Amino acid sequence: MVFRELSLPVRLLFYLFLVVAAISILYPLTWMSYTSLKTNEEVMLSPFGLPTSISFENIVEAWQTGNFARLYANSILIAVVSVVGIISISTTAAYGLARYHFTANRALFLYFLVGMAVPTQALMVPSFKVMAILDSWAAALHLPIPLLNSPLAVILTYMSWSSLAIIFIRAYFMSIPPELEDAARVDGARELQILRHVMVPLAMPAIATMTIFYFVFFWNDFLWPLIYLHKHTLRTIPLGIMHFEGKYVSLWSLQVAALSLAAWPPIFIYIVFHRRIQRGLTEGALKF
Amino acid sequence: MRRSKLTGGSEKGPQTGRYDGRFALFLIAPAFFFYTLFLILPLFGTVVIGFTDWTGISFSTLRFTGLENFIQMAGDEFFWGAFRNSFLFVACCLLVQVGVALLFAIILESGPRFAKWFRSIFFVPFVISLVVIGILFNFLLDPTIGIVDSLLRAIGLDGPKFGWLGTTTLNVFVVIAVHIWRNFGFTMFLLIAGLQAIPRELQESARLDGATSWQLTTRITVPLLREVLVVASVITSIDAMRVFDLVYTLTGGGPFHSSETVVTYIYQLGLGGARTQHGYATAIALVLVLVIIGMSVIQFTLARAGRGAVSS
Repeated sequence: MVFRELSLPVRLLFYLFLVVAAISILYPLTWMSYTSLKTNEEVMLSPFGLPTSISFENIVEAWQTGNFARLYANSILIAVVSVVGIISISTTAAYGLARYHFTANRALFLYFLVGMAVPTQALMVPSFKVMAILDSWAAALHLPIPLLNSPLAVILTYMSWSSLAIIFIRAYFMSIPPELEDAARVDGARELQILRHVMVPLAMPAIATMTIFYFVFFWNDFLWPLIYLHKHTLRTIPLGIMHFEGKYVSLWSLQVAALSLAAWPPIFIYIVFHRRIQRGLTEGALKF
Repeated sequence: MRRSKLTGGSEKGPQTGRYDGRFALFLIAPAFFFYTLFLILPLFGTVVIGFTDWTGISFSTLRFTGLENFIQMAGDEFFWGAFRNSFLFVACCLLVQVGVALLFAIILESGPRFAKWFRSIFFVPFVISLVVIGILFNFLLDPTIGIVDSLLRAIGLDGPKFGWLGTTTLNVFVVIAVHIWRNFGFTMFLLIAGLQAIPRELQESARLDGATSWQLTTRITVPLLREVLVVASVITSIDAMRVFDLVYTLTGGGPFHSSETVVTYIYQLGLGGARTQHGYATAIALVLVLVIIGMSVIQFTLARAGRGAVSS
């Protein structure tokens, strides 16, 4: 179908669809943004009007009362450690599966494939039990690693979702011609050096795609922090926003300001890197 | 084509490479460890705990109760309600989300003005946390300050008295609508990727043969898109089946459990409430796992059967 060959009414109808959909997305986000620059009285008087004067009062207050510095620190810690962890272990595992002949290779690959079919949410109760049991064992052995009420519980859970990354990166490794490694080996490179200096740089497109994919999911995840993080000092951004709402029910402008604080940094990053993010998330999902 | 992509062009495993099995196991061991301990073990646990009434973490209290949990399920109206809502979610998303995504993918790929802008805008909600979106829509749907009710009042209509989310019948559909609002752009991107993989020559030659735009779309583009369409449908239905964040933030499953979905019900029974029923919650989770796997298998099988019919 070629757009400019369509009849005028059809073209206008299609533009109407597109514009209505775009407004339905942009309006809520714009309303959120400018409402957080209004005072509470102004919000009450005219909930939809543009602000008469710009006030950063609510933004600043929401940042402080919501303890956003803490929320951001927690979210960054969990997302970064989990992503670095899962990408590292998945890349090495993918390499092992892609390039080494051994008896259990196929069986291990199928074993990792199981994870693709499992909805992780369904595992919440047994996962919690595994974590609680390990936590009680650690306590009994006087190990200083608390698992419950610790970011570690969330990170360990995330690091078990390696199936997609392993399958994705393995497929990419297999498409790389082996001559490159052989050349490096002739030059006397050791196996781990080949992985680090030859294969990882070559597989960077796949690794970057997976990094984006996992980062977005870990960053936005709500369920697992909700399950494991009960201390308010440990809350991630989604958890903090959830509790913020409960605490300041009548102060709409303050709540909306808190939403803006949570939504704008990801939107900004999306605006800058939209092409990479779109590709990363789409390619990652299509591998399913 | 997809299958060969999935396994890297080979079902058999590596075609080149080395035979140092011990080194390979060393490379795989870390991923194996986390995956086994925190995914496979809980999965195994799901199968076992579903047949017990275990509440604590001490193994001495583990007691098998046979099919008791599943019998309880049969008579639990909230369980049926939650499953009904989740299936409603799946059905609506398959029809509306995939439908809208397909329409927009085809329109945008035909080359209207500002196509890139529209594409990028439609994707924005997908990068925002569902909790933020849920709370934002709580405001937009508020009966007094919400834009939706204000617009309705402006044309002389009235929204529900206690708000859209306060009804026990419409609330599920409102949550579904917000879910679709957030996800259709992503589904659209999957389909655009599929459209771009279709060779241009096919459409060109059909066009030269005098096919109309409608014929081109329905007879050539959509049939060629079917593989990606199936993948998009499977992803959409799995996402819809395991929805949690939006329900939790928009309605909390209420009023009176009317908008409970399977995952919110599992959470509420297993971890959220004061009186936890780990065994029963896990039994429901086991059903959910089987339903999700079954749903995917059915869709892939239907697609394969359909493809066979087309090619023969």
